[in-house]
Amino acid sequence: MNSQRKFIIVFFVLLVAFCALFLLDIVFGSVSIPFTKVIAALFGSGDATDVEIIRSIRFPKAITAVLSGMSLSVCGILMQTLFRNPLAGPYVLGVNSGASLGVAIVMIGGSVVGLQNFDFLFQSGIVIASVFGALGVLLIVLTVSAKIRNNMGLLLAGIMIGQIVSALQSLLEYFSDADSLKNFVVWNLASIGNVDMSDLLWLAPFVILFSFYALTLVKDLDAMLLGEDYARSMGLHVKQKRLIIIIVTGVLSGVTTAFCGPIAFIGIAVPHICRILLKTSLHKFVIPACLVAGPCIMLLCDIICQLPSKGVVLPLNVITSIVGAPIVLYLLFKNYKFIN
Amino acid sequence: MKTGADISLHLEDLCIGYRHKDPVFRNISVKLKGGTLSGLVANNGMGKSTLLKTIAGALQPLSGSIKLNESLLHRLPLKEIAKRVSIVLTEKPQLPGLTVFDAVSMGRYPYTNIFGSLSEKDTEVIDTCIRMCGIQDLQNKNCLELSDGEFQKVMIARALAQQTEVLLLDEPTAFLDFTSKRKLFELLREIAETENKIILVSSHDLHTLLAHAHGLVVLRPGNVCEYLETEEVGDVEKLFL
Repeated sequence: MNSQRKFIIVFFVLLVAFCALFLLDIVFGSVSIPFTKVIAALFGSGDATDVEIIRSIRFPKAITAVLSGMSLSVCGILMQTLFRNPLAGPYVLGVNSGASLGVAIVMIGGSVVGLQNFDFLFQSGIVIASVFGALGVLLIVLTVSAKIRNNMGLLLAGIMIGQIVSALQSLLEYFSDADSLKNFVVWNLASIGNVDMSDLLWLAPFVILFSFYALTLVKDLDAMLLGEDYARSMGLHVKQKRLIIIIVTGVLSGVTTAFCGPIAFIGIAVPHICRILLKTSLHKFVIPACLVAGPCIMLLCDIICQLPSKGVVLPLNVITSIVGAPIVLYLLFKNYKFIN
Repeated sequence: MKTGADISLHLEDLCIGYRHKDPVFRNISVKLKGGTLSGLVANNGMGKSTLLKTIAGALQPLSGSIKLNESLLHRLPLKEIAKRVSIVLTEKPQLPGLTVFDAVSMGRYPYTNIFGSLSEKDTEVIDTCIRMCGIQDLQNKNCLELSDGEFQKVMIARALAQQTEVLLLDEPTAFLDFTSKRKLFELLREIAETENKIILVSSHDLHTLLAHAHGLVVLRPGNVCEYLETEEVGDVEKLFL
């Protein structure tokens, strides 16, 4: 079967799974609402409480799962190709750590000046700090990359910068008061349940714009698989594209981390799952598949988080790691020749 | 279409190296004609790879010029250079999840649209290059499953798919056994003659080069560069003295 046909089949199956998981994610929750009433509530009819739960809580949460899944998996594939390293992801560059440090400064540092009493300022401060934290780290990595020309050196620099930023974050935590520390620790566990419709108006345009922009990079990313020298010899402006890829990754991971916390596993795992399903590394197939598979995995993890019911919701990061890591391990071992 | 005699690659007083560092080699002046296979020989560290990367546009010349049919190559946009010069490097990129066809089709990069969609003509060119290198039986195989010799042919087919007048190869025989070396050079000579290309191959294997190439570009210590017809090469032991 050629790659194109395989892609169409896999993409179609993923789309079906996506629709099913999206509905299931809205149906599952601490309050049991029958499927027919869920559908009615989605269109604004039926019991007022059901409409409120579905339209104000579960629907935004499902949309957030979709957006964060898209965003993180695109970040993952961009990083893996840029560094030609299957272990690369937003974490490796220290981008997520930068975003977390930004959030820690506002959450913990802001409490000293009473910033949490001004709701709008506090919320928007977190978003802006997260994006600036991610971009700040990226600027440092970019400066380092001007000196270190090869990808492996840049990767190593990213890891080291991530370590320094994490240490600064720990220092802030050490000196924080109990309340703000608790808030930060809860945020750090990652959750998509705290995003409401007004947050989505911020999150959605960024994620949709930058994720779909990644589709215009497919040809350049394919060339980069051959390495920088080959890519340049085929006419690719490697430096320029590298900068674009880094900015796209920084914005996507900064915005997503601000709203959802640092979500583990998705960025690194989803691109591998897509490659193995499609049996190709060509980006014109893998990126569109990631845009559907990422949301599928996020929705699945969120559904599992809801399973205990009785008001108990499991931490998202625990589930993304428990569900995802064994899948990746299984696939890697089963197809080790393919992944190399 | 230009005939072999019409095509020429002219390096004039070329100084190569990396910016802010001492030049690797100075005053390279040599003229190569279409339809010829030439060897590039020098001791280690003399700048063979640097020269090839400079001609391919991956590095800028420190001074001097590279003319291809009277047009200054390094003044052209990168994509235009890619339509005129292609290169096969020593490094063997790991390409998990790419078939031989996918790898060869990457050679069409300078010609395809933003999504890299292949036109009918692109597919035709790819098929021809695959056939020319005799790897049609491998085209659906994963690149990771290939032997070094097979992979080298894939990279040559990829470079041919760029449809350039100049093809550069950096130590293509480094990991090949004797038979594979001989077959590779036979293939390169045939491509040079039938496609009117200028092919420049760097190698330490002087005997294979002398058996197949039309001439040698020799880089000697003291920034001495000269072109020798194969027949003019006497004692290979004294070549670098």
